[in-house]
Amino acid sequence: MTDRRVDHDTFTLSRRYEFPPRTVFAAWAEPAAKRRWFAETEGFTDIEHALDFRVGGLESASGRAPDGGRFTYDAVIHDIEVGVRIILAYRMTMDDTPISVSLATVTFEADGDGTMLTYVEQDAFLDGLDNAGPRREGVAWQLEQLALALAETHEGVH
Amino acid sequence: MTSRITHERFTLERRYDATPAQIFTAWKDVDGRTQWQKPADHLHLVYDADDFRVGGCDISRCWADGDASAYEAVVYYQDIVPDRRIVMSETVSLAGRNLSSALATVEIDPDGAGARMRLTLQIAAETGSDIFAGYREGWGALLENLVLHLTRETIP
Repeated sequence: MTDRRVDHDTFTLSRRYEFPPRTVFAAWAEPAAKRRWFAETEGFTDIEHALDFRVGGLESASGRAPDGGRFTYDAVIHDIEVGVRIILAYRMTMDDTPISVSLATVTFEADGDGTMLTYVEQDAFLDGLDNAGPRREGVAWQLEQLALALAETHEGVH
Repeated sequence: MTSRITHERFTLERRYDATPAQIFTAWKDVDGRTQWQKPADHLHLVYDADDFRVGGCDISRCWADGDASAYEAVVYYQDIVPDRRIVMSETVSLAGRNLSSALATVEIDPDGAGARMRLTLQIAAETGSDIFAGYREGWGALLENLVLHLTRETIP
């Protein structure tokens, strides 16, 4: 019998972007924009992504890691305040085995000409298959990809 | 002004003179849930949707006679291991305004002839931290309700 356990944890990341809240928020709300920085992970293959950005709407992403493991991400959007806040819950699997369920709170605040984004994730890691260390690194990497995507998309359009 | 979100986590644990399967069924079965998850006798609790499977969604309303609007809870089932574990995400709203979202983890472990149930709430509140005490008291009362519910269900 599998040793069932749940490890609960929380982490917070803050990051400033050189674009106003409406622009940063749009990169979370528009499917093509989100796919670019969120789903197209370097080294991953067989990438799929879909986003129905509304309260109760679903987001799904999947891909195969360089070592061959297949990851899936399935989210449901719990709360949206346009330009201000997104709360979503997501579960992840690796090779069809659930590894975590998480509640992510993303807030967007004007900071001069830019945006201060705060990301708080409350996690239930399942059966010892993941933990907050790599998860925090993974999300920090995505938030960096968001900065790069914004810079490329809006070059000279501040 | 940006509304601040406050976060909190707490765990409640209780032993029941019931098997893990009986506790799991109390969560799975909507008729059972409608009984023991009603916070107080004078309140009404109605499920408008019930879909106990991973990816499924429950919608319930709770109100007292004379209330202008009902509290609505939307629950998504995120992980289910029969007789062992349920992980849900939920949002509670009142009159169309979201008050809080949360992850709820239910862990069930055999304990002698009975079982222990551990409920962990991870809450993101949109209305300040006052709501945390309400969650703690509310769920504390429901875990006591569950004792009575299981007693009824396990008497042949």
